[in-house]
Amino acid sequence: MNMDSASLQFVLFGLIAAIVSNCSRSRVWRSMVLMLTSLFFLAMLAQQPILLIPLAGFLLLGYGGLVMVERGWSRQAVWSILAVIFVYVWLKKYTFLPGEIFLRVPYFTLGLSYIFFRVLHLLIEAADSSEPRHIGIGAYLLYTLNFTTLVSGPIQRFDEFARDQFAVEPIPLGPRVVGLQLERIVRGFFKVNVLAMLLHAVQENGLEQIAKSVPLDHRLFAAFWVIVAYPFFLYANFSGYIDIVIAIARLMRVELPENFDRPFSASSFLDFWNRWHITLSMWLKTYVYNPLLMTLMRRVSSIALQPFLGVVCFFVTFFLIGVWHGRTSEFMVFGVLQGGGVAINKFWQVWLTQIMGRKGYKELAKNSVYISFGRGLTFSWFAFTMFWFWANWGQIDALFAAITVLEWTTVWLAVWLSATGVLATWEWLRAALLSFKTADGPVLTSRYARVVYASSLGLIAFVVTALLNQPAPGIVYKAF
Amino acid sequence: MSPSSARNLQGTREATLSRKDWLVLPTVGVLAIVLLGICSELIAKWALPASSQGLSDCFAKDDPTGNATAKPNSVCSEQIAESPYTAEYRFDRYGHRAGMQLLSKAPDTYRIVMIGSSFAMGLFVPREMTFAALLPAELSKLTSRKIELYNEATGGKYRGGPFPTPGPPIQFNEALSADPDMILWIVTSNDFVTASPDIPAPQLASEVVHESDNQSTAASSSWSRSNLLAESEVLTEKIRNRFDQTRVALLLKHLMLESETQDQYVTSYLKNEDDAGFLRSEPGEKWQRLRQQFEMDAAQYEGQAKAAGVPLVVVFVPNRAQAAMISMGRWPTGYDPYELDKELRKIIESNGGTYIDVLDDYRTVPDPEQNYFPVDGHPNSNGHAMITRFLTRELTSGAVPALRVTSSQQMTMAQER
Repeated sequence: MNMDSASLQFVLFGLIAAIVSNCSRSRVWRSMVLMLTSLFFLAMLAQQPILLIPLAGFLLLGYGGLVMVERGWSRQAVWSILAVIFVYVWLKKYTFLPGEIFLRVPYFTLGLSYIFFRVLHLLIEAADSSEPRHIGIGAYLLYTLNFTTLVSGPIQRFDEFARDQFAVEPIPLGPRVVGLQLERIVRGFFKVNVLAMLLHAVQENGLEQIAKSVPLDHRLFAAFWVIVAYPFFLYANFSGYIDIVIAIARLMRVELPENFDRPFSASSFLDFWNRWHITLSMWLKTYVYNPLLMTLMRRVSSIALQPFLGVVCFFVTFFLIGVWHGRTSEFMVFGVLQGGGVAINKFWQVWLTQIMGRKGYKELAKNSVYISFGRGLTFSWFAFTMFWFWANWGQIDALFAAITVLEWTTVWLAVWLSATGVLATWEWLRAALLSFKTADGPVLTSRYARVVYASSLGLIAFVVTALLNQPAPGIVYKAF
Repeated sequence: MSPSSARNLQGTREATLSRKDWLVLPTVGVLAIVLLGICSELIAKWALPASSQGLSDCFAKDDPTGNATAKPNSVCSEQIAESPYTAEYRFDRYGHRAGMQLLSKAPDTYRIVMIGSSFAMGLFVPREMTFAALLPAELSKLTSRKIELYNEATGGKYRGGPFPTPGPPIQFNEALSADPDMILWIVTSNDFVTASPDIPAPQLASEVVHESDNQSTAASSSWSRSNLLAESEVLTEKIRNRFDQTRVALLLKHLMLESETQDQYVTSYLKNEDDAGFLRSEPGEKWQRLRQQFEMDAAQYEGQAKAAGVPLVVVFVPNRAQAAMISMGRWPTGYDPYELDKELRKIIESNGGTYIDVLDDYRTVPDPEQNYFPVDGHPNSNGHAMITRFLTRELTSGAVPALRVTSSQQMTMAQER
């Protein structure tokens, strides 16, 4: 049925679930519908119930830990958290563990990463909470297995989920909200099934050209497109799916957190991670960066060193983000590059502030040329780190061996300058277009413009899917 | 005011929509779709122009079988959207795009009668660019003999037959009556499909759809077995078919196929089991049945040719995807682009015919799929030139003694090119 992607079947399934959920405003009814649809969704993905046993065990382990912490055995919280982390790493078969200890039978792990974050969040919050509270098994399962967030997130906090899902008076759902959500579904569908698919083809084409014995200028162009296409592909693929699930959840009267905020507009790598996979970076900032910084600040008394503690904490946090993405050594490097990127960025900020003064640095950070080049550099660095995201060592070796170091340097320079120019032009164009306003706001975001936009994208998406007549492309982030 | 009630109030405000908007917004949406559709179609028609009238004018309109040859002495022309040329079809008194009048053969002339389907007929390509026109000139130059080629191949109404189609013995006798020194039979994978005598081409197409429906129904869950879904699938199929007839669809497919790498093209082609079934290393039941039928027809022709003392030479010309696979030199497990070729050689040689293999020649050409019309699938003018080169090389390499030339002559010819 291709339900784990942004397929037409998944969209229809979500819309039917939303219609049924809205048959009553009662929270019991809405919870029942969400539970049944989530279980049905899980059953369709797993095909055989027996494959779900390890996942069920993981959920039980998390709930058992939660109950213990809730009953005041707060000392058990650390052990529960460690047990959950270990079982997660074991079930995901991380390659740093000995292979002999893994289960030999096939089992279902789709969505396990996102469940893991939700379970850990519950355990940490329960241990930190001064007020005793109880989360029932029903609420726990609804939160962890919610079909809208199961496959690729976003990672929602429990209090936000409970606020909407268990509200006596659910959040309103009028025609304007419905219209906006339908537009968002169309936009998401277009991103995954048209835009991402085309960008993927561009990257594949580039890879094939590099491997061929074509003239050097062809290979340089191919290398350029291989670098540039993947970040845009990943954005279209992931954010498109997120658009769809956020819209479906909103139609079911639950507001999911945003996961993207125009990431390629970021003028620094630190800013980039405030805009890309926001819920993941927020989760790690909350549960890794903040506690680690607090601990280090308590232990390091030197005032001169304190600004640099953030550098260390950022490195650890974003190294973990990178490592979370996969089980192999390529993702370790990916983690080092992510952590290194934000750490160097933080160091640069601290250093410039020290030599220019706070005011001088603030002035520089507002300079449009500085912002444009920073944006280009951010994009180029992210594109560079992506090599360890989509390729294995064999492919990376072949890629770097295809052209010389000098040629690669030229290509990266071209990527930086092009990204600087193109993204700056895009920002300018966007601002110019949004400056056409009526009394209700920008013309381009008016409901009439949105209808035209959604209808056109819908038609194009329909034409392309009809033309290709193939299953919807997979969502990259479901693999993590 | 609590945050929750503030959110609710905001939502209530959001929920309102004026009466005017209930009418205007859907109208705007529909207008946007219609306008975009019309504009796209106009742009596509401008980008890929095609003639409104065509080859079908040369065929009887009331022929229900679709197997009739063209009207004698008729002339018509057609430009398909993918071709830069308008192809003229000039049929002789026997309804063949022969390129010559069938007169009694001069004593020093070696006459080849070519049979086959649309590839051999040169569908959508001006006659002077087809291999039917180019081959005799090349062979004459190389062998220093006067060689003429009388082309009896025809696309037919459904761009299929007549070789092999229902009633082949009569049609094959027509080929023999042209006083040939050799009959050259150009076979394509599509000819296997049209070989089934009891299933005219359009019915076969519907059977294919039906089979695939059955397969997908069997594989899917009980939900998809419901009548409602079956009806919606039929509707979707109708919409898709309707869309496929638009110029926008053609333009998009054309651009997509043209820009795809060999790997991408072959991968997506093989996903369509109906089209790619003949490329399987172990053909399915449908293809086994089609091969058996083809074998019977081939045995019949070879018997007739043998009785008349005319050598029958058979060549298999690959389709676009097959050519790409051979050129790449690799293909996914479970597929083999040489499988049908090997089978065909076995069939032809077991009945005493001569089989000429040109598939290996495709290995020497980078991106041979560019020599076909991407969507339509027939060879374009470059494709016909390429086939001419291959046929010339193989026909003169010794498989046909009367056309044999020395390797030095072949080398000279190659250098001249």
